[in-house]
Amino acid sequence: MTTETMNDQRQFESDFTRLAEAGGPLAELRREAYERFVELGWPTTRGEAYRYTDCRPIAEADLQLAASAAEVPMDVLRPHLLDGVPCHRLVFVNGIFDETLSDIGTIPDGVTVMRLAEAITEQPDMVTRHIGTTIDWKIDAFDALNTAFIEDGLMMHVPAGVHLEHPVHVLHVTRSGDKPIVSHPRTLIVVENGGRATCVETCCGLGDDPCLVNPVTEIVAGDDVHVDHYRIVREGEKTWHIGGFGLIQGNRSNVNSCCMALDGEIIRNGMTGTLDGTEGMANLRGLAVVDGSRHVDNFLRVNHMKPECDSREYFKHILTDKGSAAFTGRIYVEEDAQKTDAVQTNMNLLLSENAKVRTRPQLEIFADDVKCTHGATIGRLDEQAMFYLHARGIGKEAAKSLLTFAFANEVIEDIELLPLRRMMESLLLERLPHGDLLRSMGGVD
Amino acid sequence: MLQITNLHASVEGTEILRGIDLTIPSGEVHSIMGPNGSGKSTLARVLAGEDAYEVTEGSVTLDGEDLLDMDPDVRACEGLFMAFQYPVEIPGVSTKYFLRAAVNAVRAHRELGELDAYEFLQMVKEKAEALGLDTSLLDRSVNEGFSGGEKKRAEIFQMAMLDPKMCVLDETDSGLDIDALKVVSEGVNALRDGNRSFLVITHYQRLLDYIVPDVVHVLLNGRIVRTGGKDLAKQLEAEGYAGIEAESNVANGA
Repeated sequence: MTTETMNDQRQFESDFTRLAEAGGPLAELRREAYERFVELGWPTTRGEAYRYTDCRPIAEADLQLAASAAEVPMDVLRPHLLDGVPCHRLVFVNGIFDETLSDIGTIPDGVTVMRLAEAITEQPDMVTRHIGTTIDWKIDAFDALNTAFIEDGLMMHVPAGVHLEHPVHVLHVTRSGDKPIVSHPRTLIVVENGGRATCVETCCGLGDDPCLVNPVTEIVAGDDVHVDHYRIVREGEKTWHIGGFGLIQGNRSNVNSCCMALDGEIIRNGMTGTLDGTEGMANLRGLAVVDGSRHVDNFLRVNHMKPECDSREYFKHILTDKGSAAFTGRIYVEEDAQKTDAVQTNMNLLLSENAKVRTRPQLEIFADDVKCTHGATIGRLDEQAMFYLHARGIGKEAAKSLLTFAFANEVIEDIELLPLRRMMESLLLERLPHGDLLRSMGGVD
Repeated sequence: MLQITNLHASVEGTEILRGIDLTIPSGEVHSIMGPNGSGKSTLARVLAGEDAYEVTEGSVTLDGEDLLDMDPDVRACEGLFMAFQYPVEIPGVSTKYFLRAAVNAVRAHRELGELDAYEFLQMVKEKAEALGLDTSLLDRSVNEGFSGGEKKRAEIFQMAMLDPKMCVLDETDSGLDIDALKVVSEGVNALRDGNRSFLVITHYQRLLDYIVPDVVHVLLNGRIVRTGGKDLAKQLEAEGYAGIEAESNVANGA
């Protein structure tokens, strides 16, 4: 690495200039964000936020936006779809909307589920009012980069009192090729007072060449809102997935978000949750299977701005081979945010000698009547439980697999969207050492 | 059925079992009684194959097969079942999944066909009815948050599902109130079929009012010092272990 490479953010200049010429309501935001990205430069491991994620390979790659859509057959997409539940489906390939693969279906009156590109034109006020309000792109280079390149993605708007019955499923497919492709999909979910919605994001990759997927999802939840959000990351072998997620929620709102990280060379899941009304509940979860020489970084910040809110962070990593993982969880409690109840848990299961994990809880508390607990564990499989399973006839490999499954399953067992839960369970079984054995024994359906 | 010959075992270099000889024929119920520290639970764990216990001398065979040479899961598949004194909680695994995995592992070993989800549930229903147990625990994680009684009942239910030939009950009565004790005992009695053998390990005579043994052994300092009929348990209850201890010390020349 040379200093020159790290400071050269002009690699995106021509792409940005082309986009800037298109103008539109977001032109100013994009320009500011682009300038901010150039100022910030690529994150380094000397900074706090990316201390454990080395971005040099990303900085050194000659990344380009995809010029035209790549073709993806429906068959390839099928395993990523939810069985037995109708979904409003949007599919993007290398950041470009794919009409053939998408099936938005019928949207109830008053609800918006559409491409962000269309929403920018058709509902510019809605988009400009909310976009960029839940994340601080001024401090995170990747969020700034995504914001500079906002072009398309998903826009959801659920008006007051409306319960959107079917989940929205957005799939970001990356088909890597000779040249490293970058995409910056943006999702904006706005749910007004008393509304309810579910959104599933799947980021999947085809091909094993390097690319950068840099998605940012924002959820703006009003009062008495319930939102369930999921992200499944199954990128290509050499893909860097640097994901951002921002959430701001009003009074008595309940928002769940769960990220399952499975495939990709680097998977970073940056989440910021802001409880901006009283009696809200933010429930953030993450599960990662970190094998090979993969790296997973869950980087969280939860801001308690108002009294009587609860937050839950529940993150588990299963590490094998030479996998490495990092967890950073900052809980910030504003002076006014009395009766805050924040619980942070990060549990790591180390299944090999060469796997590595780093975990950092960070509490910043300015109120005096709060309950903030955090716990981090790094361990191996419980010997007593292993023996108990053996004593019931279950062999060594199957017992390991069953206990590993159990460890992971606690993150996803409460997911109400059954087809998704089943899919996650089955992905988990595929990925666990001897998961096939477990499945064949009928230990898990 | 089970033949234990001159069994010596130690934990972390300390000898706990100092030469146990015990034969349990097919269909019989034997009880081992003894004070705390006599080696009762060590015997159960050595039989089940727990790593921490090192067998330094002697042999154990199950139907003529060398038990000590088998891994714990193979022992279970071969028909040995230990009901744990402290059943382990396994969060995240539903009891139903766990049981089906166990039943199918055992059936595969015994060259019986594996059960599909439907057949398995039929078997659950049948066994639960036979034992008078309700199946509501099956949807919860293995032993997680179970009361003492629920844990022991779950152990007996597992015993019924795995169809063992030799059952070892390690202080199954500990922590049970009288009602739970009755339910558990009735479960065990329902599994007495003339072929299946039992080794009931207990500190108190109380359990033996409900599970009536054919033979009672008294374990002291890692040795069986007395063997008798079911009346021996009553005698112990009345006189305590102190009398037998004194006798045994005399016999050992101490």
